[in-house]
Formats: sequence, C-alpha cells, structure tokens
Amino acid sequence: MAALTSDGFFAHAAQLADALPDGIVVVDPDGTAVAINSRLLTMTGYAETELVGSSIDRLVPVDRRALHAARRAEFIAHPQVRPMGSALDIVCLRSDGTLFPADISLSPITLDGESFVVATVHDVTERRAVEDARRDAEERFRLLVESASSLAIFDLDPEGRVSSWNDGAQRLKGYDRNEIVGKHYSVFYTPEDVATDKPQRLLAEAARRGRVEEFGTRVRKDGSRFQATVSITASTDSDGHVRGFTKIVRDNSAALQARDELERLHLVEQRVHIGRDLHDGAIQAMFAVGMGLQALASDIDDAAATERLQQFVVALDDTITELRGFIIGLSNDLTPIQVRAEMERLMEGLRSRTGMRATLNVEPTTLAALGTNSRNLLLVVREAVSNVERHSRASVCTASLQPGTDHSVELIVQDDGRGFDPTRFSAGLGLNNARSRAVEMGATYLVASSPGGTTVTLRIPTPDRV
Amino acid sequence: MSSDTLTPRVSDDVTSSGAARQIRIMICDDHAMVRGGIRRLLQAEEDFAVVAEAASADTAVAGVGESAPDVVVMDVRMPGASGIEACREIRARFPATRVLMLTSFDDDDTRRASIVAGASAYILKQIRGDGLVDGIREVAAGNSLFGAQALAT
Repeated sequence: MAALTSDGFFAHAAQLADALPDGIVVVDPDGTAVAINSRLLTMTGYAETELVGSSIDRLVPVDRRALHAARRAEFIAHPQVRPMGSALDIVCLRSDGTLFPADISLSPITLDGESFVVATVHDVTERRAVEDARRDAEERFRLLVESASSLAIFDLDPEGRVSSWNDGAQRLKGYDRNEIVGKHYSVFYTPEDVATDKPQRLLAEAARRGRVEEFGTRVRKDGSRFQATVSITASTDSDGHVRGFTKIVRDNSAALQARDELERLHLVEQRVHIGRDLHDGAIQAMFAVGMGLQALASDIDDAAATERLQQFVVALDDTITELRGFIIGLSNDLTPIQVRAEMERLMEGLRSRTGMRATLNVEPTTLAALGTNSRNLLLVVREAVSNVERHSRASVCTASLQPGTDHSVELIVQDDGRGFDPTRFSAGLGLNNARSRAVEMGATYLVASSPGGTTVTLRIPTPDRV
Repeated sequence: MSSDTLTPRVSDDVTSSGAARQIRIMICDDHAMVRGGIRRLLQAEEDFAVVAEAASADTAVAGVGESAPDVVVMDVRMPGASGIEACREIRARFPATRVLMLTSFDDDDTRRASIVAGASAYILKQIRGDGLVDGIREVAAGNSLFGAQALAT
C-alpha cells in the first residue's frame, strides 16, 4: 500500500472537502463566497454557480443580514478561530426560503497574501429535535413526580387510627410520622365535621361499599384549612373482615387557585366593560359641554373671553383623551405581547383615520425588559399618538422602542408635522400626564418640536440586569 | 332622556340654496347639546347644509326618508336602538345616504360592527380639530375612511 504523506493527502483538498460531513464555505473580506464544498450544496439546496461569486448573504436570513455584515467586519479586524455567535441561535437560509439551525465555526486563513474566512457549517436540526424531545420528557417527568408528591397516602387501622404515613402526607398535613402514627384520623377534620361524626361515617361507608370519595375541607397540623379530594379504600381479609383502610388525599388548593385566577381575569374584563360604559357617559357629557363652549366662543365678541373659552375646550379634549386611555389603564395585567398589540392598534387607528404613514418598531422582548413599566409606556405612546393625530397634520409617524445604553430603553415617537408650541398646550392635561407617567417610571421625558416635526423621547431605566 | 322623542326637523332655510350643490347632513345624537354643537360647527362650512336632526335611532331612520341627506353623522351609543342598528337600516333602505359613525371609543368590535353595518367612516369624538368636517367631505365624495385593509376583511 502506497504511503500517503500528510502533504500528499492535503493535495487532494477538493476531494477531502467534499468528503466532510459539514458544509464549508470560504469567504473573502467583502463577504463574497469564493469556494464551497458539495455538502454545503446539499444542505442549502443551491447550485454551485448560485453561491460561488455571490454574497454570503444568500445563506443569511434577511432580518439578520445587517448584523451579519457588522460581525463579519469585526471578525476580519480581529481574526481568530472561534465558533460564530456562540450565544446566538444561528439559522441558515436555504434556496427554497426555509431555515435550518446550524453551528458555524470560523477560521481565518491567508492564501497568496490574501485573507479569507473558512466557515464550517454543521446542520444541527436533528440535535435540536433530540434536545427538545429530551426537555419535553424531563418536564413531563417533573410534573409527574410533583403531582405524586402532592398526594398524601397513608393507612388506617380498622378503628381509624393512622398506621402508615408517607412524605406527601407529611408535606400536606404537617405531621411527622412519629407524632401521627397511632392517632385517630379525625384530627384531620374540622370540629364541625367531627361534631357530626363524619370521620366514622366515612369509614363505615367505605367498609360497606369498599370505597368512598369525597371533596371537602381538611385541617393541617397548624390549624390551617385546605380543600381536599379524599378517597378511602377498605382492605378486607379473605373472610370479608375489614383489615384497614388506605386513604389518598389530594390538596386541591392549586386547582382552586387556577379557578380563582380565572375568576379574577373575568373580573378585570368586567371592570373594563363597566369602565367603558361609565366613561362613555362622561365622554358624552364632556363632548356636549365642549361643543356648547365652542359655539359660545364663536358668538362672543370679546377676544380675551373667546381665548379663555378655547382653552377650556382644549382642556376638555385632553380630558376626553385621557379618559379613553384610562380604559386601558383599568386592566393592569397586560403582557408585553398585549401591550405591543395595543400599540399596533393605536398606529392602525392613526393610519385609518388620517391616512398617515404610521409605523411601529417595538419588540415584545424590549418591552419585557421594562416589567410593569410597559403599561406606563403604553399610556405615554397613546398620548403621543393622540397628539400627533390631533395637532401635527403630519404625513409620517414612527414609534420605536430601542434598547439604550446603561440599562435603559428609549422610546421615540416622531412625526414630520407642523410642530407645536409646547407652552400653548401646558394648560392641557395630556403632556403633563405623560410627564407624570415619566416621573413614575423614573424616566426622562423630552419634547422637541419645530415646524418640521415633533420628537418625543422617553428614556426609561430598566430594572436590574436580568 | 327627555329629548329622546324629538322628531326629525327639516330646516327650511337651507334646502333651496341656489349656488353650488351643498352636502346635505343629518345629525343623530341623543344629547341636544351635542347636536347643537355639531350643527354650529358644520354650519360654519359653506358647502354644508344641516338639513335634519334626530335624537334616537328610530327617528333618524324616519328622518332620512323625509329629508334625504347625503351624510348622516351618527352617534354609536344611544338609549334604545344603537347607532349601528340605525346605520344598517338606513343603508338598507336609502343606499344613497352615507353614514359616518361618531364614537367615544376606538374599539375593534364597534369598528368592525360599523363596517359590517355599511358605515363609511368611524370618527372619534373630539371637540376641536378638523376630523369631522374633513370626514364628512370625504364620505360625501363617496370615499370610505376605513382604508382598503379594513374593507377587505
């Protein structure tokens, strides 16, 4: 057998590259793919001619191309062998538009004095699927163990004295094995139940029918009560005599909590509905008074009085806007997704009522960093958008939320309208209200307005680094 | 509400205006002060003629039959039949008359209901601003203020 030297082996680089299980692409500093192996073609579905000579962007999802270009520049400035974006979930784009998850390693090489980057692409679809399945199985197992350990399982002798005791029973009822074994099981019942002899009645029925089930109130060692589902099963000997009972008790408090939670949600919903009805009346009345004032203002000859009346009308308008916003404030528990949906709705309202080009650039993850402040943020956005609609006569409005430096996020609501004189509106409640929200959040609030447009900037500190 | 039984009233001063064709408008709201305010606001526009008022959904439908307005400005919430129901009825019986809904709240359900009932626009109650006046002109010109997207759904 001919001896193959290392050099000789690598002389067959092309064959070697194609034999590898991973995709390989060599990229020049401009991001153009200069060489690829066949594995990369089967992975991505491209033909060689489609990739070689083209930008590597073909393999990068559209929304990540800008980031990718920045990272590439970084790598070329500081080349070193490393996995690509180890903290990121990397996905590659196939020719048919689908994506697959990948691990990518980068190595700088220099050929004929020119720098290149060799990227090794490993398709991890299968590994991800296995990881997901394992996580699911672990979660199911955890739930099973948890639900089992929340069961109290213990035995009673024919007279009803405790004869065995498990960990679940100890956790649920608070008694140690030592202190409870030998005691009559009526200690688990409320005095009311004991007074009506319920413990003995249940045992008698279990003895007669083999098994009883009950849902009722039980008492822990510390005197606290809980709602329990109880089953008592009689065990009998071959002659049919009762040898004892096995009792299984499940604490239903969690289920009840879930039910309470549901009821609470219903309440919130109702509150919003009632609030809407109440406020509708208030808005109607204010709208009516405002219309009356407006009419009065046009009848009066006194310029100063007219000006005052107009100020009242502006204040009324702002109060109406605020009441509308208050309806949202009634439901305290908006998730980031809901907050974003509400903002999108505000922008949609702006678009459909004014024909303005209104865009929202807010990620739920950025909102999530704000915690409970995301609701305050919504109120500020609502107000800003309402001001844009009423005063700006703009054709474009953008609201965006971006992570800032030093644990903060920055909200910017910008329009290209005619601007306004902030002092003219100081009497209105709107801007002051936004300001007080800002103070509540510990945020800085800045309004810059000129005839070319208005920019509202809100810089909100985020809670501790997560 | 005491004004609930108000019958449609046809103004006689504007019906035979000679010059350019005016937009004939009916105002339907259960608050007399709102109707008065809106009337004052609209009368300031030369191309507008407020030809009738109604204080309830039922009288509005009857009033449209008598005064044949181009545009009805309709309050969404009123005691008795709602503005949405009145809108549906008007659009079914008098297709030439367009309806602009005036509402306290910008909520999806009402917006959708208004579209389905055949309204041409949905405008938030706001004392100042040109929303209502501009809206009426748009609607009278046969345009919808709901946008193509809303109409497609």
